[in-house]
Amino acid sequence: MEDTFYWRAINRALDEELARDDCVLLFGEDVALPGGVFGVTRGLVDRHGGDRVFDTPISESAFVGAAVGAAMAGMRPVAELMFMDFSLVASDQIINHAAKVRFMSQGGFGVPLVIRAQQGVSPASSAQHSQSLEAMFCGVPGLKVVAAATPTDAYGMLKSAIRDDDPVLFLEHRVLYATQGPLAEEEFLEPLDKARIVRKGDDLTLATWLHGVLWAEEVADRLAERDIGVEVIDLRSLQPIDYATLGESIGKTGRAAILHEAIRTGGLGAEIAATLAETQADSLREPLRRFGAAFVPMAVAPTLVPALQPQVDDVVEALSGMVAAKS
Amino acid sequence: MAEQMNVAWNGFENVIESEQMQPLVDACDELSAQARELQGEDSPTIGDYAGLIRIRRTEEELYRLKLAGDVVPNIHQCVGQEAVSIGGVATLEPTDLLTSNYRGRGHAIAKGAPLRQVVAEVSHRETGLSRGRSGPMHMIDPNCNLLFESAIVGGAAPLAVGAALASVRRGTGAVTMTIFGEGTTAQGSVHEAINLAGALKLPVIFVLENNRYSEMTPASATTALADFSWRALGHGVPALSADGNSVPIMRSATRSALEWTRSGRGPVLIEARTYRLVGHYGGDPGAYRPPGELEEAERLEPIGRTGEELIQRGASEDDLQRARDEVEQEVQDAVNFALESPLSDPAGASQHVYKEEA
Repeated sequence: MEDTFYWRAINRALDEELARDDCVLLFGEDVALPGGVFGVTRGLVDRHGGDRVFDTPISESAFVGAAVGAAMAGMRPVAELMFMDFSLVASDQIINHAAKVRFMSQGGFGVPLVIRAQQGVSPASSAQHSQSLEAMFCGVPGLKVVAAATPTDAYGMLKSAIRDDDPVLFLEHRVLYATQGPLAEEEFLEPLDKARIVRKGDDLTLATWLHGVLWAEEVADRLAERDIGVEVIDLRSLQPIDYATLGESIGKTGRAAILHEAIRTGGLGAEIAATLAETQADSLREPLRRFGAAFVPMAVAPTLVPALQPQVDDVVEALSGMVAAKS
Repeated sequence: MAEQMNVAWNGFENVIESEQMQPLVDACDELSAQARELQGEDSPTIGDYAGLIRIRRTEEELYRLKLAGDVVPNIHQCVGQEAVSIGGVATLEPTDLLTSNYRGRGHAIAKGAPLRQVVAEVSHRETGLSRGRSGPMHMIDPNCNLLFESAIVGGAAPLAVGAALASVRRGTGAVTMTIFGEGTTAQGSVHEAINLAGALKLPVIFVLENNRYSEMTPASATTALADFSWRALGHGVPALSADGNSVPIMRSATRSALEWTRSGRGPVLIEARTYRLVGHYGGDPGAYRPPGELEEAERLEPIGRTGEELIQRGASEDDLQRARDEVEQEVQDAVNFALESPLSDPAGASQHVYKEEA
């Protein structure tokens, strides 16, 4: 398998699904002619035509709402939010409409919709272009929320999301766009409800997603030098969460921590920790730990960002202490 | 480009007389002229009269049930506004699509939602349109292409744009109508929807149901704009205003808009001028209405006017009475059906959050 860029895996998934199913549409701000502000959708309008791949006004409420209506009326739209921060402008359509239609019509209408958005911190992203907002949407029944950290997952999960009959919030990360990883040449799908064990370890379970996966691998490398085995689990699916895989891992390791880029307070880690505390009390030998960003809007100055984001050094020391406490 | 930029202090007179504005002015003129022509061929029918009364009596019965106890929750009645449904919604083809708002039972009934299921939905029954899960603010019925009625003010307008997009993609020839109040035109979602429909030239009819009150605030206090139909013009979308208490006028405006938009000429906004004869919700004392206004509005309400016009055109009092009796039976049948139906079953409370495997 050749290494492929993460962005290109997304582009390939969109290209294949547009070719496979006439009902698939792709629209959003600057996705067609400009090919996306990060180039992810480049070339798609040329291959599939301006009727199916088109640019919208800067009007998140309208084009996300239109995607909901189009989905109800037989299409499978993929709407792109340029930044996850802009989901707040469209949140009425996502939370009050997309997520509710199936229940409120008791199955009379479904909303086979994918909302793609990239989130997280990158250099110079500032307080309004850097937020990890998954927790807001994971508590909304009717929505599925997934987050792909590798080209394989980005490709396979996006294809599954497009074929799914419910609204899926598909989270990408712009730092990951330029990363590479293996991607099989033949077509395949990845599930929307299963975690992925990134590496095995016997001493501690570290659950994470998106950019956190890269950090967690570094943490695991560093702890391996101290003879501590970290089992890194990329949750991938944030709604629903694969508690079976988490539980199995914790049954083995007896220790668990959650690392995410979002602000720690009110982050999804709190929900996961609470659920694990309720369900894994017999397995957990140490109190759960959570790592996330400081309770401060993200600053833009490069000297400040590390003071706010979770740091690998801190996680390494904290986890090392967790394992040492037992022995 | 340099030519476009070379404008300084261009007064509004220059704007309305400008070449760029002319197509929009012409479009509004053409839509109104066509509506007037169609109106000349139109007159109310006994069926219209029965349709108006079906909605009025359903709303009244639901309100009676609300007052009688906990059978029906608070409802936002459309009493006085029925001609918008009968002249507007009922003029759509069955294949045309509709989204609307929480004051939408009249719209739903006119679109073809069965009366029994409407009343059952409002009174929390398993036999309701949504098995009692959604209640009086949300009539939804795939069988008559009623997509959604939203209780988020302005929320359903963007859905209509997408539904129209799907119809164009699928080549069905269907038009999507979306209905919202004049107060709702202060919401960004409505403006965004009109703008997007215009940009994509989609077959959408925006019906601005102007009942004079933004919930309990006079519409005039909610904008500096003198005429609500102008809301569309700033988006390059043509508009026409119609007497929303007259079935033939409302129907002619709708037919004119349908012809326009179905032939691929883009969206249209119809301002339907009407009046809400009851409170925003049950229990609203209406203290905000100036003295005499309600009495004047009663004289202009659609049912009396339609009945008078029918008599003038040769119908007899007996004809009208027969229509009223038939509708009354229908409404009582719907109420009885609902009240005899089982209440929403808690055993199924968690169903249909996600697609369930067959």
